[in-house]
Amino acid sequence: MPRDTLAQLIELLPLSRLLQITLIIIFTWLFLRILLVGLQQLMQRFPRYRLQMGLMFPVLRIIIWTLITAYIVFGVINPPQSIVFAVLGSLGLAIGLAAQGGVRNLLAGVMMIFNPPFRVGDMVHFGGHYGEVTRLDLSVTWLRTLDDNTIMVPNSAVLENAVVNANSGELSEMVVVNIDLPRSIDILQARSLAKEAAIASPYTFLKKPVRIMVESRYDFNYLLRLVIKAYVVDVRFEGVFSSDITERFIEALNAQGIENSHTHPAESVFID
Amino acid sequence: MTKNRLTPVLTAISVFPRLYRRAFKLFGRKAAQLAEPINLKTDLCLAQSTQRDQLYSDMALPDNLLQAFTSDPLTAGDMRFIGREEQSSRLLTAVELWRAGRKTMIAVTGPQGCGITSFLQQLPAQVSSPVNWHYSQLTRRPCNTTDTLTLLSEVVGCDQLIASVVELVDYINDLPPTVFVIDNGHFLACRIMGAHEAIRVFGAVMVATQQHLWVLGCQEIAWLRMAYIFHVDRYFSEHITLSLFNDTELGLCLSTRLQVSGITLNTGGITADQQSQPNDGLGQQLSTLYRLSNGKPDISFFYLLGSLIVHSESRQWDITPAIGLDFSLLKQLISEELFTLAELASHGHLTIDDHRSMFRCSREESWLLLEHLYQQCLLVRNDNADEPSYHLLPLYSDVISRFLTNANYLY
Repeated sequence: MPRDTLAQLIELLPLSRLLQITLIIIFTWLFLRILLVGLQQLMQRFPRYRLQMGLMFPVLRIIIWTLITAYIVFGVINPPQSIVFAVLGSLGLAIGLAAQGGVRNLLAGVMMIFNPPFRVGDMVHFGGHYGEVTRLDLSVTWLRTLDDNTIMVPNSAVLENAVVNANSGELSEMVVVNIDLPRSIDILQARSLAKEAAIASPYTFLKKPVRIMVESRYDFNYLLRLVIKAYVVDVRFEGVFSSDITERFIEALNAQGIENSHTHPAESVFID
Repeated sequence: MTKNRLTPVLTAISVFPRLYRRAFKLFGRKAAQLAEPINLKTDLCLAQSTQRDQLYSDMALPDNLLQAFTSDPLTAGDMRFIGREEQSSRLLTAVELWRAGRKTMIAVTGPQGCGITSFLQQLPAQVSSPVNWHYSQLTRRPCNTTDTLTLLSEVVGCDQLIASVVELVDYINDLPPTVFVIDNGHFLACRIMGAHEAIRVFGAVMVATQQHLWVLGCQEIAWLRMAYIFHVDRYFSEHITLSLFNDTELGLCLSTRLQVSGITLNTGGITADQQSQPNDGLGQQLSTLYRLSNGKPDISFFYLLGSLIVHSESRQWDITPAIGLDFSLLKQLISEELFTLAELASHGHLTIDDHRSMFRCSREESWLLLEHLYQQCLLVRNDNADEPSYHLLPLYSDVISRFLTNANYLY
């Protein structure tokens, strides 16, 4: 019986056919590389549409590999139906038993490609991490954090936790800057300065509104929290934007002599 | 059989170079040897006024031609002013409504170099009955309320120093009804900390004195910025937009100027019977000129003048295919430089101090960055004022703006 199987296998996969399959795989891989490089060039040429283009590659890759696999199986090898069912059954059982986590990630990856909670270039909270999506693979997602660390998050995290997408495919993104001030501060003046600081930043996307909210807070003392909500023109500048607004606001407070108004050491300006 | 099998392969091989060439063209790369030869002028400094003058002097272009093709604003009644009929009609209707007692504020906006100043200067010649008319150009940016009061006093022709907004409003309201035309409104688009109050005061005075007609000429990007920040569009009852010329208007503009210069182009084989215009020779190059200039008059003049030749024997003028400029330099700029260009596009002019406060860097860093862009011939430096100011090289403003918009630095 094993001898028959081996003979059947050799009959199905002679050396010439193996070579053919190898060539097809190499050409497909090369084609995908060229496609990726081409898309990257296009993304550089039309940065405004880079997020939409970034979404195309993962979808194209899975479609192309599925088509190529189908072609290899049914067009090149063309096994008898009994073997196809036997292999599928065995594969299903083996995969189901041995690689539950992997398959889970894979399935989540497929789900994410056809029903994307985010795309390449989005800023997301995913799997407990925050950063820019730099690559979407079938089983993992790669994030680059604001500290420039690269994090690989298993795709199954999308099935277990909520995903927060800060820009949802748009280039602009809301950035929230929290600033704690002493309660004795002139609220109107502080709000006005905060708004002007947000508008004056060259990274602010002025098409969308700038909002300033005030909250009461207790941290060793009663404080006022100023929440500046503004949109950055491009997600790439999120870090520098947040810092720029904070710097401008503190500088404006200093220029107005506001930081000297508090008397209690705890009543200083805190930035979150 | 073998031949049949090979046919698709051979077809694929024959198609590949074409696909390859197209793909690389799309991606902005030059495919070695396969791409068509591209002739572009790589020296962007050619469009600087001194170099242009030198170039025209070397080409021995006559003075009447250069005067006809000057980029300076056109005064009232100048026959080189063409088109804009619909916009003129809207402006005149608004003026008539104002005369009938309706409170009106008019904004005239358009891209840099589209002819806002020329358009505004035609108004006195077009109004049917006499009207008090006061035209002024903003030359600096108000940074605080005092600046605004001084600037507005100049605009309304008040010599005395006015100390408060209320006094200024009273003074203006005591004047006989006048059309106040304020050009260079881009000076009001200011992103510098502390300047917002100044702009609000400027707007408040205009709104409070609407017995007069205020007409504000402003570059499009600056207007959009002011609309995003201050919602200025809500206060102006009439908003007239000028766009760059389409190909027909550009053709008319160029042929009118050629006519004014008294030069007739060689028609290149078109017989006198077939000619409908004296300068039909231009028609053959018009699409190239339009493609290169995007309908912006000043750069189309530059390309046209650069492609004129005179035959020494027959003294006949001919036009050769215009050669575009290579703007690939823009792709090499870093994000600080691109942000600087974006702010220059929206503010019009920036001094080193303006740039320093806008980007929160040292004066030396600002100076270095602006000078670098100036040396790359993307900016013009104005040394006439107390402090040098920089602005985009006018001929390139449209190309730079489109590049920045595509790269998501300008919106």
